[in-house]
Amino acid sequence: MKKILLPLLGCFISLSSFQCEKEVLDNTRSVITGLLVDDSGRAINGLSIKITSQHNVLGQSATASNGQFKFTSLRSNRGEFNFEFNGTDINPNYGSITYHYTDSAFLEKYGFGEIVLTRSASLNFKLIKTSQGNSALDFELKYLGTACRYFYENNELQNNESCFPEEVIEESLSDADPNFEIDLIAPMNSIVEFNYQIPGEPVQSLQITLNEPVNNYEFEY
Amino acid sequence: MNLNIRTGLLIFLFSLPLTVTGQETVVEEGPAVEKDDHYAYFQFAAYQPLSFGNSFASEGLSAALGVDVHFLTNLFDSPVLIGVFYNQFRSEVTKPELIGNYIQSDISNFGIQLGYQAINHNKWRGTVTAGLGSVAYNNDGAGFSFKDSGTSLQITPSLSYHFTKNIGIFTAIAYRRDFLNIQAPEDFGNFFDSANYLIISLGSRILF
Repeated sequence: MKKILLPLLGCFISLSSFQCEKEVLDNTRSVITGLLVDDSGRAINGLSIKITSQHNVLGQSATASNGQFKFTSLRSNRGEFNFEFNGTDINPNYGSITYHYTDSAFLEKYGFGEIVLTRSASLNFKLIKTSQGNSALDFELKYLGTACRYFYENNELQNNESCFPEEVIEESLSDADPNFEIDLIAPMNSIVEFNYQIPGEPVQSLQITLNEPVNNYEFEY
Repeated sequence: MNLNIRTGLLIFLFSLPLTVTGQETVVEEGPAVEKDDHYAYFQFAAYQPLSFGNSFASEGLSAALGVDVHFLTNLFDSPVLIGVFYNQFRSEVTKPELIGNYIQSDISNFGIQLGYQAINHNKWRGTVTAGLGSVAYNNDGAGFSFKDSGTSLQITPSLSYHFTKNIGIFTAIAYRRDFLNIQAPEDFGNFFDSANYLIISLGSRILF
């Protein structure tokens, strides 16, 4: 009998505690306001804003044509939540900003003022083998990501933001798989570093500046 | 003389309730009027709330057809009614940016009510009731749930027709106001404080 009762009791306790830990506070709402502009000062229209807690979206909206936003959110009960600007449903023309809160009570009002998002540029990068004979190519692409994360603890901004992290792509091309193509997104006017080496030769380096919204680069070897 | 007048008045006053709620058919001058001899009823109804005004319920929710149950009884053979009620309906969230990102709300309301039986006939009954209830908006999102709660006030004039001694139909148009305990910033004004509904009901009654 004990063998049956103890697991049942365990299940009951775990179920009860699961139900007690509510994701969202009862009888509360918050208001979120602000203005989104790009790094040239232009208002950004139709950009998505989400408030998430774990995997739940508590509030979401999009900016108006003048870049302003004002919407209602439910309040997280967890003390850990995110404000994501262009974090999901991403508009590829802009970077993203996430404010990550830990050990923080969800306030009744968040007025973000002016938030500046970096414009993004795309690069269509192609490596095409045109030479005859057996040859290989080792290469790496180094570029900056477009995401920016700020961290808050007890609703206080910490000094450990993480912005525009370096991204690296490394590949080795051979006769079996001689070509390569990728579309990548990086901040506008940033530089993509292309380092390559043909076996037996020194490493070569090229820099590609992303000064247009859409950029193409083709390299033949 | 004074004694006679007082006795006459007393007899008149005591006989008044019997006349009003008496179970026999009272024959008066002119056509016979069949007095209402029922003392209680159950009521089951389809319940369609229509929200109005500038509130979260009218701007961000869309109410569907619900159900409503009442029990009312006459108080001491008088036209005064006392009873309890329960109703429930579901609202879909239409503008999450205005009220928060959830999907739907199951709105239940139960409480007590007082009423007055205005039309007093065995086939027809006209009543007005005022109810005070506890209201809960049980809200569901994608993977979470939470609750908004408060108090409701409802005024319901209704008219019923009785096919037989025990069965009838009725219709009612009610005004209901939910006063909610939602804490929200002042920016919202009274948006989350209350919700107003006009409610159309149609259903059946079992009379006793």
